[in-house]
Amino acid sequence: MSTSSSSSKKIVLKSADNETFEIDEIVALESQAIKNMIEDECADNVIPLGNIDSKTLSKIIEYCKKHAESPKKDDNADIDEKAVEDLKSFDAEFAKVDMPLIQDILMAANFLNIDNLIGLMCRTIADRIKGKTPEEIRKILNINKNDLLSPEQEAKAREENSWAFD
Amino acid sequence: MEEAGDSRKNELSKSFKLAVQVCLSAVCLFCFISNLHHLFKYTFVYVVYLKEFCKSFPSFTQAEQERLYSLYIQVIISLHENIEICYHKRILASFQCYNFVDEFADLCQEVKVGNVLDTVEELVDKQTLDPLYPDKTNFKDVARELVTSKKNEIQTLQNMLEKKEAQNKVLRSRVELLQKQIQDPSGASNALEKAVDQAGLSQRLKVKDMINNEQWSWPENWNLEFPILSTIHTPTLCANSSDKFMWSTNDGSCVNYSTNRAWKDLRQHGEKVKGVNNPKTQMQTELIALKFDQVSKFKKCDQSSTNNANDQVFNCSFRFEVSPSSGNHTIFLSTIVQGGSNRYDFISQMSDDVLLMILCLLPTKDVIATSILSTRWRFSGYDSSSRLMLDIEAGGNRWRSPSSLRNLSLSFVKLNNEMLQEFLTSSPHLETLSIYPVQNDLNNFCIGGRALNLKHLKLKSIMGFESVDLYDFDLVSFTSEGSVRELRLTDLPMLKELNIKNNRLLHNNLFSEMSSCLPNLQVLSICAGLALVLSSSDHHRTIIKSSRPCPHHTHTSLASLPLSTIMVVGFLMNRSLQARACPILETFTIEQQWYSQFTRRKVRHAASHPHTHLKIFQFMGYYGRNNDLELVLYVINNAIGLKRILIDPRDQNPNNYAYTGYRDASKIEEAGRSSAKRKLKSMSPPGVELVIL
Repeated sequence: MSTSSSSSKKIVLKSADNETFEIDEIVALESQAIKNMIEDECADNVIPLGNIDSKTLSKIIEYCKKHAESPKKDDNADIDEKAVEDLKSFDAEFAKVDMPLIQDILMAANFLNIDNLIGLMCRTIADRIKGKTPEEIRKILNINKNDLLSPEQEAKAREENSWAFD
Repeated sequence: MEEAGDSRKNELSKSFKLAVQVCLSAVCLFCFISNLHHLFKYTFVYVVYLKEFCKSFPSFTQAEQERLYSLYIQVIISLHENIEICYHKRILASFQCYNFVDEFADLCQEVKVGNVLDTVEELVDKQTLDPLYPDKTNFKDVARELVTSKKNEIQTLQNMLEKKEAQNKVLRSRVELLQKQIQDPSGASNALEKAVDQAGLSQRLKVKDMINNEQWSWPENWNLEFPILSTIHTPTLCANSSDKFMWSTNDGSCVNYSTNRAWKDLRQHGEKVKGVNNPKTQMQTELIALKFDQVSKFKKCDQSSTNNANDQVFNCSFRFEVSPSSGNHTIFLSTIVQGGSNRYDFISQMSDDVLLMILCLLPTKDVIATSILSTRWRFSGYDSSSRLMLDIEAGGNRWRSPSSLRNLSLSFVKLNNEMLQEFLTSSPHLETLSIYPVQNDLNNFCIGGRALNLKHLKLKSIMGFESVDLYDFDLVSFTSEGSVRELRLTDLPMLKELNIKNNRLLHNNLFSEMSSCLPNLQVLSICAGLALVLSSSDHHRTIIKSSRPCPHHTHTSLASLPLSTIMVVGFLMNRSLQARACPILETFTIEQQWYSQFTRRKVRHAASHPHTHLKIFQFMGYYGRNNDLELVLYVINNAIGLKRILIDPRDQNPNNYAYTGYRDASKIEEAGRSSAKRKLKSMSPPGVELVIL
């Protein structure tokens, strides 16, 4: 099942803290941004990712590896159910990290344009704030205190949509 | 004598240079490879050369030879020292390994090998030329002189290097300082540091230095500025006991410090330490750094309220152990802060798209609830006065509208006509509605009635609508994207703008009722896709041709439409349309994609009909074929008041390569351009400005 081989082309990524990661091209292609770079032939050297630290990057590479290795949906119609299940449980397991890392991954995935991963992280965040009070959500998302509404604004918003704050 | 001296001199300099070179390269090579001081080996090299050296000066006495040799050795040693020192310093200073050859050349330059050789030559010269020269004693002096001068040189070089290093150090620390400041632009640490600096105190001040007569001796203004200081108990100093490392917990008790304990307290605040991604690790490193700082106990600075980075309310609750301590630890502890509030949070960094994506995954109620999270959410997701994204689950008959909702966009929301009608009626302020329904949902879209306040409606569908009915309300603009088999617009007196995009299935005679129902229509824009170009020119002809008298209206046809602008994109409308339809048309723009030329359009002879108001005619995507030419000629012949014709030969399909496979668009453009120039220039009447791009 593994598509990686020693002969395939390697892509080198460099994190913000100057750690380098060598990955197979097929793994890197999961990122639309890197794919574009490869297509434009500007990925020959190290690709510096100045806004992604090595911890986040290694997580993202872990995700891309798994997804690059598993068969794509449109490859053939009858891919075994097991592979799909496998990927699902991988995703579920992958998302079991703390909120700061999820946010970092989401930002990085957004930057690298990895659709599946953006979706996964968004779902995770949505799941975690679902049914929570605004105060709890603020805590979960670490919302900047400088960014709060004024008490008047908040009262007005609460009044207008009182049904949602029951 | 002179001759002999000359030859001797040459001989000397030659062999001297040779020997020096060989030795130097050997020395340097060795130096380069091992960096060790193998003096024995050098000596060995010298010894090997002693024989040759003596041979080089056969006319000299043995004593002379020996003296020369000792001079030579000394010069070599001084050179070597010089080289080695320079070499090592160089490595240290630059951390770069230069090309060995370059390095060697540089070094030779630096130690002025040439000068040394010259001096030696000169000396030898004098010696040989002047028989009275008291050579036997002077060689030593010369040697000493040379050695001291070389040593001085080495000293100077060393000084220079040291100076450079010191400068580097200063620079490096400055850079570090700057980096620190960038990381922590306005943290409490800075606030404290600033306060300490302003008071003219040292950051390294010890607790015992701050205590005077068993009382704190704070700077005068501090008691006002930091009222908390007055609550701090003055510790009893005792020179014998040692300081301990303590942590003041959230509930105020004082425990032995452990990273875990401190982390627990900090984490409860839900904030992060110093803008790093892994707060725990970062905090650990900082605390460990503190330990090494010989701080025995400290109190974390609690930024209880940091509303604004600029005017921080600095609330530092110091806490000291009551038991006696030596007070021998630093008093200001500025490095431990909860820097979370300084870090731009995730929300403010994330793009709208992603935030919307998260919102879309939430139930409506939660979406509304998030509206008060922060100004950023308010902006991105929901704002009671601007827009709302809703995710309504199947059978979502429980949804209600915020009363002040003005702008609503429903993407892939399952809904039906009744729900929509009800929702619209209960949203008196809703002005703009975009709907992008789920497939096969809302096949027959029908809204209307005076209760609606809707001004702008946008419908978009990939699969298309079976029918769209809009009736009897004050709609101002309507855009439909995708196919609509039957589009009925009835009694929309305020409709000014009608955009129909990619509609290749329109069956009914939309325009038949236009004059009566859309009295204010001013802009009609029809954009078609490829399919329309291929198949539907007949439809449009039909629609337009079958315009029939409307019984309730005095005007009988499209002729009454006060259209002032028509944009036709992608296909050629039957010419008689504009002739009859829009007598006061002022601007007529055609945007044509080149591929549309592949269909054979029937250009019919329409009865010429004067356009008295048409002033501007724009033809984008002019290809230069007969059809194009005929159209332009038609406009020229019928538009009496025409002022300006604009011909743009560029393809109007931005993705033209995808469809046409045209390799060289510029050639086609050029052909169209020259054809337009050739044919139209002569035909355009005087007074009409012809612009060919």
